[in-house]
Amino acid sequence: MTFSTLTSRYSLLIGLGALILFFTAMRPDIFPTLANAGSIMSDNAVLTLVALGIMVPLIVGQFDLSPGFVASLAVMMTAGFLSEYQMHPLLVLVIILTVGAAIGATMGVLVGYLQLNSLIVSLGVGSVVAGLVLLYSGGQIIFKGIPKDFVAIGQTRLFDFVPMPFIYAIVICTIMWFVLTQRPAGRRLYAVGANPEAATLIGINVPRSILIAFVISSMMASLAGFIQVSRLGAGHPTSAQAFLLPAFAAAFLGATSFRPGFYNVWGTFVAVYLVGTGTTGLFMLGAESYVQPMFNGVVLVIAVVAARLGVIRRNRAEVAAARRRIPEPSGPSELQST
Amino acid sequence: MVNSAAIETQESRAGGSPILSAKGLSKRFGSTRALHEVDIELTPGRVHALLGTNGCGKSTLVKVLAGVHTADAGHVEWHGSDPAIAFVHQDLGLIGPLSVAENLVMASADGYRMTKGRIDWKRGREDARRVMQDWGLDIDPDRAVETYGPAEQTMIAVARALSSLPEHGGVLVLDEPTARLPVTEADALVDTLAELKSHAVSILYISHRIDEVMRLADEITILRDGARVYHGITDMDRDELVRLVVGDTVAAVDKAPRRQKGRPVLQVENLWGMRLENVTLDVGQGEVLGIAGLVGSGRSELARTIYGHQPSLAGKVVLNGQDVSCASIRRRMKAGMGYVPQTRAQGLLLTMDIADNITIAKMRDLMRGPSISERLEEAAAKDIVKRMQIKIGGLHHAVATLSGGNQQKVALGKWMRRDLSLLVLDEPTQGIDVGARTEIFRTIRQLAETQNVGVLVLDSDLEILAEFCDRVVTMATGRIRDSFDGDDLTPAVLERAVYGH
Repeated sequence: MTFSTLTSRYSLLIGLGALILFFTAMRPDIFPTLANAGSIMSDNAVLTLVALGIMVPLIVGQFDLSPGFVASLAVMMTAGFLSEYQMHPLLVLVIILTVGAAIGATMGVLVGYLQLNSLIVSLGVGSVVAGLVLLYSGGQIIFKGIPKDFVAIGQTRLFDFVPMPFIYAIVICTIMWFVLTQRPAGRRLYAVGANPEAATLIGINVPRSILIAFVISSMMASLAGFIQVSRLGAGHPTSAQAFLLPAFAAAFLGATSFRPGFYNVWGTFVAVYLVGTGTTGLFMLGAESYVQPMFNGVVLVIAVVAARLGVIRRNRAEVAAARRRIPEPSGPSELQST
Repeated sequence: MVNSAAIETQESRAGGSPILSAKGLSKRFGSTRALHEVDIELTPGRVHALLGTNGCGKSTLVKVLAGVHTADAGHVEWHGSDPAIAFVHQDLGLIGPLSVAENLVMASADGYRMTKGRIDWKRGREDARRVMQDWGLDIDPDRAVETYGPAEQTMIAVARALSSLPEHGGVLVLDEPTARLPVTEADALVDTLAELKSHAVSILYISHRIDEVMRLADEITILRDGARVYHGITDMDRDELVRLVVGDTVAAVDKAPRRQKGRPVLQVENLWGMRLENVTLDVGQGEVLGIAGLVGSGRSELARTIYGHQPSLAGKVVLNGQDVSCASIRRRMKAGMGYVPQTRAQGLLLTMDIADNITIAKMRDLMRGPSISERLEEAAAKDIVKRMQIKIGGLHHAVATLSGGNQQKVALGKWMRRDLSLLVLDEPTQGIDVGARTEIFRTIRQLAETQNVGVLVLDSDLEILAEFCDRVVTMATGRIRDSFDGDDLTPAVLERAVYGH
C-alpha cells in the first residue's frame, strides 16, 4: 500500500489528530486535560451508538430519520420506569429494547415488504414516537428517584479516567464490526445496498434484510437512550433528538475512511469523535451555541463532497490509465478513409 | 448536404418523389463492417420496410439517417424539407401516469402553447382529440396513458411522434412496434398503421415479422452483413423473403458432439405465466439446451419463472424430481439451481470487489471459526478467476472496473462454487465481443460435460447456439414452437424458424 492510499484511508484519524493538536495549541490550559478527554469520550459515546444504528439502514440503502425520537422515548421510559415503578434496570433495558425492536420492525415492514420510501416512513413513525414521548412525559423532565447504582452504570470511570459509556461504545463497535465484516450476514447487508436486484437473484431475502436493519437501528437508539439516562441521572424528553444530524454526519464522514466508499464501523466511530472534539474545542475557543449546529451541518456536507471527490478521483485515475494505453497520439483515423 | 437540398427544392413536392434519399452509405466500427454501400429512399405516403437479422446493420442505417452517426462514405439528402425525423422505439417512452393529451403536448413541434402566461391545456386537449379522430382511434385524451393496452399505447406513441413532425411530411421510424405485442393486437396495430399511408409522412418500418411486413409495406429493403441484398416491392413469395433475410448460411461451424441426454434435471410442465403459454420442456443431466427467440418471444420470462424471480400462474417446475413451482429463489438455489440474468447490472454487485462477487453465493466453506477467513476467501476467488480465465487487476478491485466479458465471467463464476444441477443463463454474451463469447460458451459446455450440470441458455446469437447446444427450442409469443437437435441443428435452420414466425 502506497503512502498516499494509506493517508487517504486513514485521513479521519489524521484529521482527529490534527484537531487535537490545534486545540491543544490554542487552549493549552483547558483542552489537553484528562478531565476534558474524559468528558469528550463520555459525551459522544451515546452519539456513537445512534450513529452505528443509522449506519445499518444506510448500508442496505435506506434512511432512518427516527432514532432521535426513539432514543428520546427510551430516555423517558427508562427514567420513568426506574423512578416511578422502581424496576430493576435490567428489566427496563429488556423492555426498552423490545419497544425499540417493535418500532424498527414497523418501519422495516413498511420499507422492506411494502417498499415504501424510507425517508417518509421513518419521518412518520418518528413523529408518532415523538408524540408518545410527550404523552408519557407530559413534557416534564424526570430527575427524581433515579437510583444511584443505576447512575453508576454511566458515570463510573475505569482507572478513574475512561468513562464506562466509552467502553460500551467500543464493545458495541467491535461486535458490529465483527458481524458486518467477518460474518456472511454482514456481507449480505452490503450486497443488498450495492444492488438489491442482484442480491435477490443470489437468494438473499432483501425485504428481511431491510427489516433487520431497521430493527438494529431502533434497538441501538433505545440502548443509547438508556445509557444517556445513566450518564445524566435524569430523563429529558427532547435531549436525544439532537443526535440525528451529527449521527448522519458521522456515518457519511466515516464512509470516506478506513473502507472508502462503504459505510463502516471504525470510520463512523472516529468521525463521531472528530465531530465531538471539534465542537468541544470550538466552545473552548469561546464559540457561542449557534456554532454547534453550523459545525455539524458543515461536516455533513463536507463528508458527502469528500465522498464524491473520491469517486471523481478514482474515475480520473481510470481515464488516465486508459490514456496511457494509447500507443501513439496521432494515428490515422478510420473516419478519414473517404 | 445543405446545398443539394436547396438545389432540388423545386421537384420535391411532386407526388411520388422521395423526401429523403441516401446513396452509397458505408460505415465501419473498428474492424466491423456495419454498412456497405447502402442506398435507400423514403417517399411520402409510403411504408418502406427494413428487414434483416440481428446485427445486419439496420440500427446503424437508421442512426446514420438520423444524423446520430456520420457515414464514412455516401451521403444523405433531404429533398425540399429540413431534416425531420421522429422515432417510435420499442420502449415507447410514454409517461404512464400522465394523460394522453399531456404526453402529446410535451412532444409537439410547437412546444407548449401558452395563453396569458399559462399552458393552454384546453387547446392541447382539443389538438389531441383531433389527432385521435383523424386516425379513427377510440382514445380519450384525458385518460392516463397507462390505462391503455400495449397496442393502443403504441398508437399513442405513434401519434406523439407524428405531432413532433412538421405539418407536411417528415420521416417516421417505427422500430419493431409489434415485437412485444401478442399476435391479435399486432394485427390490429398494423391495420391502424395502414391508415397512416393516407398522410404525407414517410414511414421506415423495422420489423422481424414477415407477415405483417408483407401486409403493410409498399417496398422492402433487406440488409445482410451491412449490405443491401434486396430492394423492391413486396410481391414475392414468403419463403423467398425469409430466405433473403436469413441468407444461405451454410452450417460451417464445428459442432460440439451431441450427446445422449441423461436423466432429466429440470422438467417444466404446462407452465403458464404473464407472457408464457403452456410451456413444457425438460433439460437432461449434462445437457445444454438453447432457447432461441426474438425479443418479446417470452424466453426471458421463461428463464425468470423457472428461477422463481417471476411468479408462474399455472403448471409445474420440477428440479431433480422435487417440485419447486412455489419455492423461493433461496430454496431453488439450495435444490441446485443457478441463474445469470440478462444484464450485468442485475447480476453483479458493481461497487463491491471481485472477491466479494465471487464468494457471495456461498460463504459457509470460507468460515474459520466464527469469522470469514480472508485467506480462504482469496484462495476461493483466485481459483474461480483461474478456472474462468478472468483477467483482473486484483481480487479487491471493484468489479465495475472489469470489461464486459470479464464481468460476465465473474457473474457466472460465482455459481461454480455451488453444487449445481441446473444453470439458467439469460443472454450470457449480450454486449460481449466475439472472442469472449466463444470462450464463455466453451466454459458453459465444459461445466455441462465435466460436472453433469444441465444448462438452459437463452441467446440471440443463433450461430453460437447451434455450435454449442445439444438441442435448441425456439419460442415465439410465449410458446415453444420447434425443437431441433442432431443434424437439424444449424444456424440456417434456426434463423428460418426464429425469423419465420
